[in-house]
Amino acid sequence: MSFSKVHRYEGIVEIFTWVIIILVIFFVRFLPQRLIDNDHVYYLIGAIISFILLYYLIIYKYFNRPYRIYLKTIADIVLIGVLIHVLKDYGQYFFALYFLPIAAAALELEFINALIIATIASVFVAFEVFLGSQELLPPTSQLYQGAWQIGLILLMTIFCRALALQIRQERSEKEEAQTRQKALEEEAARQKEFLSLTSHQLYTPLSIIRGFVSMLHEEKLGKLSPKQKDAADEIYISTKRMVALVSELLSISRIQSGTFELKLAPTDIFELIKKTVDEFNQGRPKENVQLFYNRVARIEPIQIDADKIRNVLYNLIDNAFKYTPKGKISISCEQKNDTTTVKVIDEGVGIKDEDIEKLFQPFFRGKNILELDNKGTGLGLYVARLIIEKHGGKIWGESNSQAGRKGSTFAFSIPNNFNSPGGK
Amino acid sequence: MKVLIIDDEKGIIKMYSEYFKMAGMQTLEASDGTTGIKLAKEQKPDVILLDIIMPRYNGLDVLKDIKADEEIKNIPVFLLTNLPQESSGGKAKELGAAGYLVKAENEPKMVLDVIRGAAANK
Repeated sequence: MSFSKVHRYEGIVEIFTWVIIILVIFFVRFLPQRLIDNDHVYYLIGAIISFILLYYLIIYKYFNRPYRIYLKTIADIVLIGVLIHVLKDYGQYFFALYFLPIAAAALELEFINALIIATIASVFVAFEVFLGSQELLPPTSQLYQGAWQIGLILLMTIFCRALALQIRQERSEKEEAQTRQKALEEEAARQKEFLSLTSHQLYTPLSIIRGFVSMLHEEKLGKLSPKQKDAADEIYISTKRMVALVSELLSISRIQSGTFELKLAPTDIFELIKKTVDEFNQGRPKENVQLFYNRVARIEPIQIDADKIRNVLYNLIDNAFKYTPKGKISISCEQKNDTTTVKVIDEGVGIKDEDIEKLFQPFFRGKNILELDNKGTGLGLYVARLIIEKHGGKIWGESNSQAGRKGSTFAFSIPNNFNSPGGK
Repeated sequence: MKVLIIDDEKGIIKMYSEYFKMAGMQTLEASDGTTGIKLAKEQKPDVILLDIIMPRYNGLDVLKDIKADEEIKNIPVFLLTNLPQESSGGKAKELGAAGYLVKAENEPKMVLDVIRGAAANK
């Protein structure tokens, strides 16, 4: 039951409880001893119950929560006092009933109000001690009994108060954490919107330039002179690089700002490799370089974001092409211990040991590649690293020289059943 | 083959229109969703290319209204936008788009191949 429901029914529950207690007092204690005339008992019960109903009606209608609890607790103390007085022959431990309203008051009210309520209860205890005695000064044993009862009541008040402070602190910490979380989520949503609009604004003029330049490049708008064709080709290549750069910068921003979400689904990674290699071979054949994949017997589907992993494969193959002016580029895939490893092995110029660590940093080029090609964005491997890390995996590069071969190997491994907290 | 391009950016319309005409297609042009829907009903194009960010009547709402209209709901609609796939791709699919193409990443030739494929499968 939720707290709001508890609050809604608390008045009814309390009245009901007290009516039962009053009936028990009268029927168990007074009636068998014929202390009160039977006819008058019913009038008395009716009068007391009406008084309680009226009292609760007034405090629920005219008082707000803290005052209401204060007044209700005082009523509770009075009723408990009466109950204890009635039951005094059955034992001295009924005074523990005072703990209930005192605990409630200490948890809900300010310390001073809880202390007032504890004092009222203590006065009732003292009253009971003196009322039970025939002498002016009760016997020492009874005084001791009253003293430890009052002591326990005060201890209970302090204990509950400390507990209340603890609960309040935890609650405020929790609320603070929730507020912080909400603020973070709002900020992430703002970032996402900002990045979407930024990409839109940057892409719109670029797509018009790219479209028209591709027409010039394909000579769809008329035959160009050799010089015009050269110029159109240069603009075409540069525009494509610009689009790739913007796309990668936006990917990095999305990953770093936490607005990047993986759409995980069981995927046949071998099919993905095959498709990417085929696209590559169709799109950009390079006469001196052969790109192929190694067939594998059986590959289990793995939990990945296929679009993003395709992007990684694309970047690794693109990178291998840059390092390989001539030779073969092969892609292999294997599954072992719930992990899938994909390797892109080239026969290119290789990488120097001191460059390996830096390869996956933004805008880093190995010394060897500086002398070969500078047409990349310098961000591809960095984006690949971020995507693989998002999949809970790792990515690395190594020289093939240790295996006594030419070139280098770029590889990544990812868990087969990754379940990202940010994934969908 | 008839293609309707709905985009508020004149340069985009001009560029695609030029390219598609050279490929032997007939193009219809609309700079907002209301004109686009009207043209679609009158001319019954084979394919619709629809931008998302447009003033007052955005592409996703236009798509929703196209799909709710008995007369034109079977025409394949491709969202051709510069908003990243992550931002609106899911919503577009949910609303029944035939595809989602990011303009800057797809040259007119690629867009042409996609819509030809869609028209052939219709």
